[in-house]
Amino acid sequence: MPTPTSTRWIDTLAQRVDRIRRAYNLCELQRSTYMLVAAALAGATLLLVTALFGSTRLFAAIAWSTLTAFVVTTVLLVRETNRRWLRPERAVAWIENRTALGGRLRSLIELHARGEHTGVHFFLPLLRNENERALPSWEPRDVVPRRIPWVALGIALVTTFTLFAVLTLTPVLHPRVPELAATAASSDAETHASARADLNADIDEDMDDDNARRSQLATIPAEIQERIRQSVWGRAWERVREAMLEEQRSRQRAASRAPHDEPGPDGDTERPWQLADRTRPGTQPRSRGRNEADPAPAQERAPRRALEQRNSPMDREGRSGAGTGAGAGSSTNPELYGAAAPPDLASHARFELGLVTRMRLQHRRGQPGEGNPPRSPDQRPLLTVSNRGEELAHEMAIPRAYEPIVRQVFAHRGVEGLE
Amino acid sequence: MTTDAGIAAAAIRDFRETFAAVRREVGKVVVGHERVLELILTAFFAGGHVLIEGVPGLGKTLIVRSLAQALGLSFNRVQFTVDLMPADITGTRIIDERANGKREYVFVPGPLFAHVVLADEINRATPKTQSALLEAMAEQQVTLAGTTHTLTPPFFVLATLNPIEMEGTYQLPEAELDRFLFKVRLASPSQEELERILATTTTAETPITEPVFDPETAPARVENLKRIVRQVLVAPHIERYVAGLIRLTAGTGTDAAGELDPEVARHVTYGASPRGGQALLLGAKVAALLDERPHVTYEDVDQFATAALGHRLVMSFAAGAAGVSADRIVDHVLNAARHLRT
Repeated sequence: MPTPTSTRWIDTLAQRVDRIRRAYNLCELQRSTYMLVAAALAGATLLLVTALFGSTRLFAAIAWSTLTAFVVTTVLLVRETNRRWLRPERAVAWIENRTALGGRLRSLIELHARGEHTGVHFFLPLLRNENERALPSWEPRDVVPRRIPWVALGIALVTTFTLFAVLTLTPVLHPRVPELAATAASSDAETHASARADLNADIDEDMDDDNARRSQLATIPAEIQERIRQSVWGRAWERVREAMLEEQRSRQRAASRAPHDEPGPDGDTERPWQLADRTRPGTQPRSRGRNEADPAPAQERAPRRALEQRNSPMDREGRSGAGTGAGAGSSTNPELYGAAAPPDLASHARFELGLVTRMRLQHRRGQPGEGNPPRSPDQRPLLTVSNRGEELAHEMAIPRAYEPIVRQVFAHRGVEGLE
Repeated sequence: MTTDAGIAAAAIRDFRETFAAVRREVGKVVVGHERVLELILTAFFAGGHVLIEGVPGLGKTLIVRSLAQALGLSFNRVQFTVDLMPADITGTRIIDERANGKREYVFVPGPLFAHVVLADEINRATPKTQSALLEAMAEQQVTLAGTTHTLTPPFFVLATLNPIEMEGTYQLPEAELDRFLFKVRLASPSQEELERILATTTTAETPITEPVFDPETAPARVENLKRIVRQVLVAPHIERYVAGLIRLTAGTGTDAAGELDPEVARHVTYGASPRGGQALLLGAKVAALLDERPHVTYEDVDQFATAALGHRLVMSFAAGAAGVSADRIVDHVLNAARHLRT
């Protein structure tokens, strides 16, 4: 009569199934780990390259995109690993699918688990015998031939090597200061732009894109980018940055056409009549505290500085422009209306007062025939009716005799002593 | 190989050889219809009954008679007509006068009392007569006037249906349909098969089916083979799969997405009964033995799905209007049940 299936024999099968399951799961775990490492390293490489050679805006976009992509990749990898993970209840069926056992192993193990090995079954010994004969056909090394996921490992190694190469090469590839100086001195605009295109774009954004600085999303990447550059390039980056800032200021000075652009007596570059810098509390003013090079000769700077000290009451009181409120000037530009003409009190001629500032005009209260006639609509901006009263007046005809008085008044000096 | 395993392997080998021998003997007379013959023999060894549907002249009666001859079993043929009464097939009691002049009722067995019964054109009989078969088919016994008469095993009913002459016929009740293990359809023979039929049936010497078993021991041999079929191992994952199939045909099972199948729900009014699952497993067991395996696999189950489940589905009006057949639903269910193969 047929005998019940041996429990020890079933245990042997179960142990082999468990070995195969562990080997497969280890392989899957390796694959996911390698892919995760590869994704992280690829993202780090991209971030590093972008941080070193890209603009702040590009780095911010790449940083957030890379972070998002990494999170998504991690989630997908975890899901895929969970899906492919071989659980004990699925292990036998998985082995059956990969071998030519034809359901023998699964039937025997499941019937044993159900307790049918304790009874007498006509075909159970035959099933056990068939499994015994088929045992060599599903050795763990045959069922799980790959213990190491070479493709995933290769990808991880490639990304590691790439990051290593980037880390090795990037310190050498830092922008060079002499190159910048040379391009700054050159009058050739095309050469100037091509040599500093990437770095100037960065500086332009650092200096000009105030909205980006206000955004937290943009501030964090900018700080990270700066740290990365300092970490990778060190003092070389500091020198380059100084040179780029100097170049930027030179461009600004050239564009503003300001004849007296020298530092104040306390080293402050802001003139008393300039508007205070609109910086947020806690942030570093961009140009403050830095020693700007004044292109004017030293012999020209000294008289101007004395004139400013005499004409600026605030400066006489020892206050600097940095202490003024945001948006307010500390005094009036003495040459607000251009160079002074010699006074001619006897003359009835008029002089054109160049206001060069925003001024509210009130044409309606004036006498007919006084002042300039309204400009044609195509010469003035199309403003709304409410804004018409605040139209900019660039010049006004003033009797020549009043010129010294106007100048004194607008220079905040008072009218005492004038006849 | 141990002794027990050797005995089991020998039993499987004996079954395969017997099956092949019967198949070969029937094949001497019946040309073509390989799949139908295989299904009929499978149902026979599984202990079920078969409903054969086909137009006249395709050899339905010939198949059944040849099978009975090949098995060496007794054979009866009942031509179902509209005036056929239950007693005409189950048997009746008659008054018998003994030699001493004493009269008593004596049971005269009807044509059901045979090993193989051909119920020809079963749908021509009234439901009352058709239902007389129910007890015989399910319990292999006949109850008459309070007395139960057991049918001698093996008992195998082969009923035929003529699908084109529907006038004067009665639709088989679902309960009776459910008692047929398989329903098979006889297709028209191919060109080659038709040529062979013409060549073998119009000559002076027609082929004769030789019995595989000794008529004296045939019933016992057949019963022994049927017991072997029942011994085939069915693992729990196969039972889960079959149960899932049955639930899918009833519209209560869920597909891989965990949702009810809308096509089944729209086209099937009533799904297969648990008897359908039994039919699937029994057929699968025979298939496993024919494949020299002591256990059932998914493929064994699938190959009998249409024959075992098709006639058990009660199709809806929408299915009839859309021309959706039960076989198509079974195929659909098989595809939807792929996720159960885990």
